[in-house]
Amino acid sequence: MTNPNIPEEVRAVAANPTQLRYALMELSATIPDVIALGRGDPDLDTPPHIIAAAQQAIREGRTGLTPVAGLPELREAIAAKLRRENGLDVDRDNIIVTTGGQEGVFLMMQALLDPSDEILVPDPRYTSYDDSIEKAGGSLVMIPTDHDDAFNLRPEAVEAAITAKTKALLIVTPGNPTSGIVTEDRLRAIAEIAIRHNLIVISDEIYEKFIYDNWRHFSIGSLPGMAERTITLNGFSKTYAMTGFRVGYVAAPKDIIAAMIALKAHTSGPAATVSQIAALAAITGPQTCVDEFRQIFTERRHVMIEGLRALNIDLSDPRGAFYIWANTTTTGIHATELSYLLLKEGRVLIFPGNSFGENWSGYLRMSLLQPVEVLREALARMAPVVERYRVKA
Amino acid sequence: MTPPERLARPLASRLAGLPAPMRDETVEPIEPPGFTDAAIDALNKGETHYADRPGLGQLRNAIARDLNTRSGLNLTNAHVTITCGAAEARFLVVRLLAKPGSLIVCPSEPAAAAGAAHLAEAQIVQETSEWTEVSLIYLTPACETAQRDALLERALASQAFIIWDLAFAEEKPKFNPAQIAELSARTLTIDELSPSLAGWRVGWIAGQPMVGPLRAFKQSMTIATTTVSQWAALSLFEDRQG
Repeated sequence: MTNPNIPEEVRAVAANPTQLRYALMELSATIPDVIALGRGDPDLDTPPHIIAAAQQAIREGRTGLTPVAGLPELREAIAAKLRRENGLDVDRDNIIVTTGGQEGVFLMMQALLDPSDEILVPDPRYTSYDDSIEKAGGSLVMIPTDHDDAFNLRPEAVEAAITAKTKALLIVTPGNPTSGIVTEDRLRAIAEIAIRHNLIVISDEIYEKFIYDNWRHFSIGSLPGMAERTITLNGFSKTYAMTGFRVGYVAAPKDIIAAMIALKAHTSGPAATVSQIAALAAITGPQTCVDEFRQIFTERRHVMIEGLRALNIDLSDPRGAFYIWANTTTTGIHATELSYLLLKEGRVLIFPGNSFGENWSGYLRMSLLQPVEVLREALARMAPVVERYRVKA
Repeated sequence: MTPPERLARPLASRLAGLPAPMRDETVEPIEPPGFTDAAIDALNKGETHYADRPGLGQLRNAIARDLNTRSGLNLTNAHVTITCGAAEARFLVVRLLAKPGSLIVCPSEPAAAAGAAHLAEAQIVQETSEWTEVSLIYLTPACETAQRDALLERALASQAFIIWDLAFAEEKPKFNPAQIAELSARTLTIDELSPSLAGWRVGWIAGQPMVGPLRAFKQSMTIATTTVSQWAALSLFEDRQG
């Protein structure tokens, strides 16, 4: 980061990936007419049947405190979905409803990790995992993933990272920030490794509904011998564009769920009741809205891929989620600086790659969470900034 | 060793001694009409996405104004963080401010902070002579005035932070430890919506110290508090403040 004009509030937190993202968001709020391609908050409207269910619950006074684990009927519906769609052998007692997916990560790390325990995490990564692991006293061990492999997770890289201290492996598919997926063949090989080394596997499947082309989602917890060692994380925020309701869930062996419930009673209590009723409507109601969202993201993805390639910016194959993970090393500009310049001069908020791990200062993460015409405008704003500052060979 | 056996140690160590949560009885929800209307209106307006990480600016303003009016404080919205009920507020402040192995002096209603203290690996005591070991003085309005004042006198000579937990008080007192000038930079006030609105999961932390770290910790746990709940909560303050 060499640009002396980068303000202190960004410079001061540049070494903390999560805080760097928030500093850029706060800076963007001071700049008029910014196009936000930063935060992973879908711009789409929450489907009307979900809103209607929440409003009906409010009118009927169904708003009292629920059990900490969540509304029983919501836990039942989640278990049914996981059996039906993901092949998981779970029932209600395997489920905890959390206050957003992030709390699921926090609670499971608190439940799982002893000081000095190591957890394997694919790199790059959504660095809120780092915070939860650190607060539980564990140690994060990065597993490298590669651009040329579309950031798929390589079983041999997983096995090479295992030590006597390794307790768990985190899998994120589709991935954030890379939009890569872990393919079924790799998951089968990784499951064998997990069983051989007696590892717990945490499978973050928050973006499972957004997969493109002919790729498909696969849940590692459905494989033989994996149910007893797999913790599956999912939620409603991304799938149904309802981030503000704050509802996620975790499916896991019952002793782990019992521990998470006991912890949650003291860390935040149950999720908001109206939110849980909205989530119940989402998971039991029509799913055409999800198909429509995926179609919208597919079109946006196409526009961004074409536009970025026209700027001579290299991309891996984004197979899922709603992000573009762009290799900007050809610009010769450090990601924090490029992100700042794009915000200050181009009025486009994009997160630098190093806010998803220290090794990624040659990448940017762009979300697809703006309409197509706005994405085209963002590309038009980015082009002169990239060309003006591109380091010429 | 099976996966459950691998988990036995951390689960056992974290859960052993973890007390049952306070107030797990069911309280009938009673919402003022303005509260219900505000919630429905917010949903009609599409307030279904993330709120700002520290909470809605208007709600934080209203809470700061309420505390200033009642207790003569000088808080702004920058000093307020909205949480998922008082439970999250307690966990955040205790986990952040109580060092492992330190003492939390809590002379009344110790169960309020017992779970958070256990998870922070700190010990709750009702009194102590080991003041160098004290990281937090945790007070509620149920504490007798003489005892409270004596503890605050001791606080002046120590580096301990003060938590003023109003969540269990039906009548909110005018007194606030932050009124003592030397303690205002070390005092955090915790409160939440009334028990009949507990299902909406809105609480808050207000005070000068540690605002940035508290917000960062909150972000790493639940990111933000439920948006519709915050809009509904705002209506309560608007009614009260006219």
